[in-house]
Amino acid sequence: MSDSFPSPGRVQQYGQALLIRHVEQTLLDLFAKGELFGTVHTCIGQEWTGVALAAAARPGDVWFSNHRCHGHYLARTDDVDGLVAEIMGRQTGVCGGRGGSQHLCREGFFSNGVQGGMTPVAAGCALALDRAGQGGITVVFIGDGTLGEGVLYETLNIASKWRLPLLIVLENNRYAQSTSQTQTLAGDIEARARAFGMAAGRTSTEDPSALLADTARAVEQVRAGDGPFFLCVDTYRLMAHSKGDDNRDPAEVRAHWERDPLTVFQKDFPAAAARLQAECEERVRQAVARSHQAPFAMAEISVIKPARTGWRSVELPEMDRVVNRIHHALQRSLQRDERTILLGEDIEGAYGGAFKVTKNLSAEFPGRVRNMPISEAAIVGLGNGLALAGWRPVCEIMFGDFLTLAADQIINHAAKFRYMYNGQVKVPLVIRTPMGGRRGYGATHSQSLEKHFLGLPGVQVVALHHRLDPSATYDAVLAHEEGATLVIENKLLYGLRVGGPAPDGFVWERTDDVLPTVRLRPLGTVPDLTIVCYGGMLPEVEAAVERLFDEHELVAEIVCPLRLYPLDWEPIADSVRASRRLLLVEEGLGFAAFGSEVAAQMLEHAPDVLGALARVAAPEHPIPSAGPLEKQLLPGASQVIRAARELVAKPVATLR
Amino acid sequence: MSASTVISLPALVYLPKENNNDESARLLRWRVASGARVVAEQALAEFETSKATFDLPAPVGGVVQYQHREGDEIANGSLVCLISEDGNAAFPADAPAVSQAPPSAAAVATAEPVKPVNPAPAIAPQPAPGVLTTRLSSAARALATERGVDLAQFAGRGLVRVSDVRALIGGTPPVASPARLESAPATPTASEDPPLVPGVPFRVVELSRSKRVEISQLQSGMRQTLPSSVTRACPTRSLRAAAERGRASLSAVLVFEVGRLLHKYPAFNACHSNGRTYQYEAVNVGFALDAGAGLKVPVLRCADQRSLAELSSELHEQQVLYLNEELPVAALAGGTFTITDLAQEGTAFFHPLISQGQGAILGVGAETFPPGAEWGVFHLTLAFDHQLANGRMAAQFLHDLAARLSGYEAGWGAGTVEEPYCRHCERTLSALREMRGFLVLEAGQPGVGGHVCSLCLKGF
Repeated sequence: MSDSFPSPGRVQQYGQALLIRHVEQTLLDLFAKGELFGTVHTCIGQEWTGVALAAAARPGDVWFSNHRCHGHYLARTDDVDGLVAEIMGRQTGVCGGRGGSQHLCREGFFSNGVQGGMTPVAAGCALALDRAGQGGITVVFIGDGTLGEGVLYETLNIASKWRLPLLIVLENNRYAQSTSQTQTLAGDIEARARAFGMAAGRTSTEDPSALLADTARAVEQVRAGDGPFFLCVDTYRLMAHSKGDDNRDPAEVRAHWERDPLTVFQKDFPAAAARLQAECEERVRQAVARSHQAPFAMAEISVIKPARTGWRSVELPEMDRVVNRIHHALQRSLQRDERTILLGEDIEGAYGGAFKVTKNLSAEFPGRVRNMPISEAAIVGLGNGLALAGWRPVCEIMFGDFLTLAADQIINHAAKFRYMYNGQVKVPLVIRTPMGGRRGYGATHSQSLEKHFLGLPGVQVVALHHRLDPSATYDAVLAHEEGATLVIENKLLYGLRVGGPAPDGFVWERTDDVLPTVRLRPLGTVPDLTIVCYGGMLPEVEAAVERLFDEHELVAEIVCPLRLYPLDWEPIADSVRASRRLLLVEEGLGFAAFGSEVAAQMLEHAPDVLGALARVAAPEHPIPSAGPLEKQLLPGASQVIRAARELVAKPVATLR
Repeated sequence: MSASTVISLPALVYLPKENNNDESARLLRWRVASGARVVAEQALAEFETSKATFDLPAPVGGVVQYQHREGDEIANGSLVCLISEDGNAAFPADAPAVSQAPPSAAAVATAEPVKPVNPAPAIAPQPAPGVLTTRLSSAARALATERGVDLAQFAGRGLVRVSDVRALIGGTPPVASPARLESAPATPTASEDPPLVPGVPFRVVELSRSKRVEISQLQSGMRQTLPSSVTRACPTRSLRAAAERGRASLSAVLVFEVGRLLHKYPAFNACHSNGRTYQYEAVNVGFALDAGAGLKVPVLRCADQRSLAELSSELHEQQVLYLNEELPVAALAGGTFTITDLAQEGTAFFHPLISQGQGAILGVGAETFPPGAEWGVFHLTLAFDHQLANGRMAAQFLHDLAARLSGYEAGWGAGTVEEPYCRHCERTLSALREMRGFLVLEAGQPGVGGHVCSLCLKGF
């Protein structure tokens, strides 16, 4: 370390680093006093990474950070007030107190607390910046603990393949919470990136001058369009991961305190350091005082208010097949909105996806219909990043069963961004996936897993069917910007024709909502029962309803919501008011499923109308492949008929 | 059908599939008499499916010949009629089975239904505009037709049930729903005249369509036969040995053995009418299934010519279809003999009813254990038409059947030693020796030849 006095610019950077350290030391004090919610993960000892990146940043750049994000945030925004108030749970916090320590968002800065989860999101944003062509780059900060997450490697692969303007900054502090790297890390860190054909470099926070120079070079390389760069920054966390979880050798920690650049600076230039320290203390003291004055974040729970819009008849002439109507909707969206982009496996060319929905679209819209590697988390993660950047990504997951591989991106990212960032972002992400069996694909390619994705505020779930035009449904879905949409398509519905006349003696009706509920209303008589179903079960239930009348003289009314979540229970209650009997039909497993939710909501919202209830769902075991066996087990028209007859034979009970 | 299409005579007119829900349609009425001359596109007959009624047009002009009667249920793809130059065309010997046609030398089913070679055009029936929103349940339609109610009276009424038809014809209070309780009328209405106990509350339950079909078939069987029966006990170990040796179900073994035995006793594979015996040339064994989804009798065609393995797997398939309520109508048609098994219910013996157009039915009872016996026995009851046979012949049939089954016992449990066996009936050489039978080497391609036993060579 040179004894000559640093330049004014460097002094200012020391000031930034000292500010970060003092904010975090203050947060630790506040925590000890019980004034914080949750915990904080401090970056004391690692401050120079954020400072170095900030020195190379330009206004159009976008940063993505992780659970240890305070230093990055302050380096980028200098927003002490917003950060302190946020962590103190105040309305004046940068995310109104909704996000807290790990979930910060402000003008080109996003953090989330799930290891590795932000890497594909950053890659998606990098793709958007690359297409915008204005020299903006994306930076994503990870830790060495993140090297254990598979989604990181999915992202390295696609970022390198597509030469995205993405700088991955790995802060290597050698410990994942309490576990030393020596126990969990095999091989070489930089070699991981190089294996993906990506440029990589290594630097350290111990020498701020070298760090600043190395970082600037990495940023310039990415900005020049030379593809992504992987920068490993050796550093040391001087405090615990969180609280009371430090089992490192105290001598090792002490040695790092002594080598720490801020310790050295305070020793070499005590007067300058004292002046900077005083400035920091004053700023932070004021920020804490202002936060104490501010009100706590308030609950603002949105509730679905049933709209009694009434019913109007559906007159849909017989149209093309469902698969072609979806294709049509995607084609139109690509035509009229430059920001629409399709990502998925095998979706390009004449092949057009496993179910041919995107056939030939890639030739018509080059670069906007893109084949992805078999990386479901990265597909949805890139979609998340594109959505945050204002695009209209439509991600195809080849089989609904594989949604599980993207679950973190759906549950912890897409569903959370808008709320935890206090409405500062929109997430117009659409995920399309086919569910359902009856094609002999066996236990892992035939399931109806949508129940696992119901009830996530921020992700609406739509189950397409053929009694409403899927093209119109997709128009409504693509216009929905506030949150993500998961669209359940059904493998057997693809081949059915849309619309057509209602069966004799019945009429199709719909509510006035953007994503309406439809019903098949019997004419000239009151229904004996109401059957609620959705998606791929609709044709089976329709066949059952016709046979129930023709062969058993039972009149059933079908109620089929297009949107499963959030659910409007009123159209269902409306039908049950007339029939008193409710049969809930779904193809998937019944335990804790859509049917159970509808049953519970009926009891909560309309307890006096429901007289008897039954459910039809798949039996409680995996789906077999053999055709006759699969057919025997999956609920179909026969099971619906049997259950309906039994239900009607039950006495109507008064449940209250 | 384009007018320019050339159809050679005689033309076979088959029943087109009108919709996905129905495997068959009911012949409501002939529009022309057999032997009449028609022009192309002229309506030949009116049919009814669960969805609608429709006219079947003539694909070509000529003289019409038919054998179906009004009211017949005809399977999709089955022959409806012939159109020829002169009205003297012969009906094809392999015409598809007709579910309720009277037995006739010319229309004996000998094979699986064949694909139509010259299908009639499917012309969608156009319902009159005024009745678009009307739909009668099958039972309501049957009642209205029976009472001669003009269906136009229901135009625009939406869904019409039996109760609606009753309200129209008799002033009977409407029945809201089949299973709902209603108050007992003081006296049954004259028009219905059910023999009810007066003054006791009751509820009305409509019989299903399949139950009504079953009743009509059994009533017809009762009217046309002189039912009699004989019963014989048979050691259970015979049947178990057979099933185990053939790796087949017990039911399949019975179908297999009965199929072959019927060649020796053609009188039980026949139908009697007006002093004549009509002996069927095919052995189509129906196997009655009743496990909660109604009584259905799927037919194992040509049971005398199929291997035990084939019969076992087909029977299994039909049981799966039955449980799914997906047995096609065609699978229920054409039976010439029936086996009914109530062993599952623990019934020791019972008197089964002979079905329409058949001469006998075999009832299989549950295993019972005579005091002191090491092995159980089960009872076989042959109910037969005394016009076709007599008690001694029936007793002989059961004796032979028991003997055939006991043939499997020899060598049973002897282990896995491979000994020569008949590749048709899978009886081993040692079993055959006990029955005074023998094996011959079957001619075939080198290396793939097998043995055939003297019993199979004789055809029974």
